[in-house]
Amino acid sequence: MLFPQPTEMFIDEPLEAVDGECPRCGEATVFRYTLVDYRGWLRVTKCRSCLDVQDSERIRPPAQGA
Amino acid sequence: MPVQQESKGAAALTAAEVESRYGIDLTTAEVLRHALRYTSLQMEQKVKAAGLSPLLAEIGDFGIGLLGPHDESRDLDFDAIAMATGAPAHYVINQYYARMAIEHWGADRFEPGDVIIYNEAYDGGSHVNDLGAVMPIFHEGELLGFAVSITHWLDIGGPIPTGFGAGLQHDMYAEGIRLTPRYLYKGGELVDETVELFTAQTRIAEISTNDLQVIKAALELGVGMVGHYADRYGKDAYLGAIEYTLDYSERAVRQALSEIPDGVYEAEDHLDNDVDGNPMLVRCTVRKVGTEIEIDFSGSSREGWGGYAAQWSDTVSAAHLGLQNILPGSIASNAGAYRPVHVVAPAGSCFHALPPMSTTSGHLFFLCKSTTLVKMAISQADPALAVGENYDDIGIISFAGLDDRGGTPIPFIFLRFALGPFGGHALGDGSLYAVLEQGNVLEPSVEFEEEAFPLLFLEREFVTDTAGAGLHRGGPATRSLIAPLVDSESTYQLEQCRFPTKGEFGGGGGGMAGIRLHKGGLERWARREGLESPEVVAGFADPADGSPAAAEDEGAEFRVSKLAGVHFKAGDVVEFQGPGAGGYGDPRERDPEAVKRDVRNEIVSPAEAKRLYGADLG
Repeated sequence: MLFPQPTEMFIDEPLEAVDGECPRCGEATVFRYTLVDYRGWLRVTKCRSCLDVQDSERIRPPAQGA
Repeated sequence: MPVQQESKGAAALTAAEVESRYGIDLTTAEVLRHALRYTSLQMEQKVKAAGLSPLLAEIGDFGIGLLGPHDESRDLDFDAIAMATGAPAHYVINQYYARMAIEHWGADRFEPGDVIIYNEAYDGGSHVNDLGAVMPIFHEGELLGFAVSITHWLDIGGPIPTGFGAGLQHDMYAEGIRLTPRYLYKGGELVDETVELFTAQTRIAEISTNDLQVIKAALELGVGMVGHYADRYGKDAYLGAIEYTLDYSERAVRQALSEIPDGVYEAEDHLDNDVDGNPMLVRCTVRKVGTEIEIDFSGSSREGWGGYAAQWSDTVSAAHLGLQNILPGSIASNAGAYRPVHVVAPAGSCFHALPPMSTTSGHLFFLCKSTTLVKMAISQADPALAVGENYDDIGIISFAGLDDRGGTPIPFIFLRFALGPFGGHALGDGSLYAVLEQGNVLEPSVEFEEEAFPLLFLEREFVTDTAGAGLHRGGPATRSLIAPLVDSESTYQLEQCRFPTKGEFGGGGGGMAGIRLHKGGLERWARREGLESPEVVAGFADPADGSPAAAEDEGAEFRVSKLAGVHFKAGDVVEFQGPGAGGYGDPRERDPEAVKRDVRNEIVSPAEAKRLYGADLG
């Protein structure tokens, strides 16, 4: 069976720039991206300079049969 | 003076603070914090005492412990609260593996006496050989959490004995049986149909039949002990103690993080080869501010077919362990310790496989690279934390075939996880021979292995001039000579056969690893004639005749260091040599007495002592 493989040789996490500066350190750009904390996956809006998290949403798979 | 916890710094709370935050007195909080850990250690002993698989009974390649309940009012969500000492990588991954299995199954479906098992690696796991199991802990009808385990199954079916099939397992469909969560026990009764999955589809029917029941016995022990503590101290005290235990580890990690200079620290390394023989670049960027840290694996190679990729959950758990290992002091592993940590694992990279990539072999490769990269990156932050690179693959060699020593041929599967050296660091030399921090398993005795399997171990020795030089040197390589007594099918996975370990702050790299074959060598060895020149199995070779070559030799070819389905003949001698570890600091500043000791112990030759350390030993 044939399945696709990434065409890029090296993979970066896609960073989506979000309007507005960091409320904590004033960094010009904050980003929306996915990461993993101690409970699983999160979609965050976060400053990569001071690591302040402005928003986070947990990503959960559905339960069996749901 | 207020009564305080036993620890120092920010982890410490006064008795009044403990009472106020958790609703329990400090003594009860500490008794239960230790009781949770003690319970997990008792569960571990149960598996070791009753397991048949040498991976469980001898080596200890499993993780076992407790999860808390889901209780939003206390901010608890099936968090890992206590673990035994063995195989940290197995246990820590339960923060995802067990949680996702419980969520997949549905927490409200559990009844007392149920045991659910699963091995779906893409649901927060590692590879299909790692069998997860959960058993609910009920107290007076209320779910107080779970007893959980991950046990490495010696064989899980599929084309390769042991399951490690680098290069041969193109995708996940070639890895063996895959189990979504299902009953092993329902209301305390063994479900035969589940056991038959193992007796019919693995090469270890008898072992599986026993060890599946051992898992239940160990989990049941944990359930009973938690029930005892909940009876004695009350449910609220037990739940308060869980909060206290998690917060305790979190405060300790944040205290340690606060002492690391803020900054952005980077590290990169290579895996020896992908399925086509090409090196794979792996990268890590650590961003650290205050008591928060983000570990980012962006820029690493894409996932590769044939086992050259890992599950995100493996990567994240190994990064947690890397951080925990480089921080000073000893901090109890539980979910609280990992609250300050964010990990970025880009989908489609070798650190985050997407289905249907095979991850059985990559589980080991990238688990180790993740931990090593984190340590290498944080080493840049502070010389006091720095450590030279250790051997960073859980190298394996296996032999499988028919054991005919007893007259009636019976199948056997031998699997050896190679131990190795650690890098020099600010406080001293690296360990000479220990297991990686993700594993923390034991090495079985040679006598046991020669009795249990048709193999002879002819030699296991340190190799002179392979330790990375430094003010504090790394540990040396270890070489083993293994002779199968019957024709055998082998799998091997070994790193640093192409890229040696690196030193830190002026320390040198260690010697490279390799696997070599002395065809029919056992007979010559028995006659004390010495072994003939070997043929390179993994490492650099002269393409003309396969003899060993140096990496810098013109025309030298690299033979991949991970392969499955390789056949060795009875009486062959397989030479398995791990890497040496990196050194720390300028070798010219090493204590001359330490150099003399190394020469006396044949860690360093007199010639290298002079060249590297400037030591003239006359």
